[in-house]
Amino acid sequence: VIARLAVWVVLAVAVATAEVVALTTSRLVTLGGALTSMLRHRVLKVVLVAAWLWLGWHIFVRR
Amino acid sequence: MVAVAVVVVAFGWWVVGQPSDTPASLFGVLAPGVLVVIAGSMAARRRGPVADGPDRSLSGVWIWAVLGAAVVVFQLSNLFAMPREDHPTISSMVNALDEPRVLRTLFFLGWLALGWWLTGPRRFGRAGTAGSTTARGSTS
Repeated sequence: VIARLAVWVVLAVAVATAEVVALTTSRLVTLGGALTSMLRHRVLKVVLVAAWLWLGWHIFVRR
Repeated sequence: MVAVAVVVVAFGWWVVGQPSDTPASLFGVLAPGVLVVIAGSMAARRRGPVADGPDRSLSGVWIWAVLGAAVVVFQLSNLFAMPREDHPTISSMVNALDEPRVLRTLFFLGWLALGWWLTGPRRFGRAGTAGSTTARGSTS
């Protein structure tokens, strides 16, 4: 369990680091910027909205 | 507006108090989810057709793709591994964190806000940053 939790922590730190780098430099697009660009495409928007609905079901219904 | 906010918060409070895997909890997620999608799409459409802006810089977007793929793969590997209690998933960690009902309600409201952000009206600016004034666009 500890090892798997550690992997989650590493992934969370990686996401946070990438976001900080994106916000403080222009070398990287922010996560919001990347998602917004995806939302320009109808198919990707449907995928993201479906993923959002699944997340709500997974966390609040199947908890 | 205040009345709507009060209703949404009260509804969220009610939803997170429902037992899992019941028709009430399913209704509590599906109903506002569908409402957000419909209302967000209508609001985005009301803005009318607007020209797309120039190409945005997506430098380093591959990093987000790699991180997203890593999260999905690790989540799925945990989801289907046994025993379940030894393989934490995002939802099991969130459930452990948000035991207080107030916190769970805030998670629910955050989930609704994310849905509105995904479906509602937005501006497309530099590198796709919503809120920028360089250009406006709509996918709906």
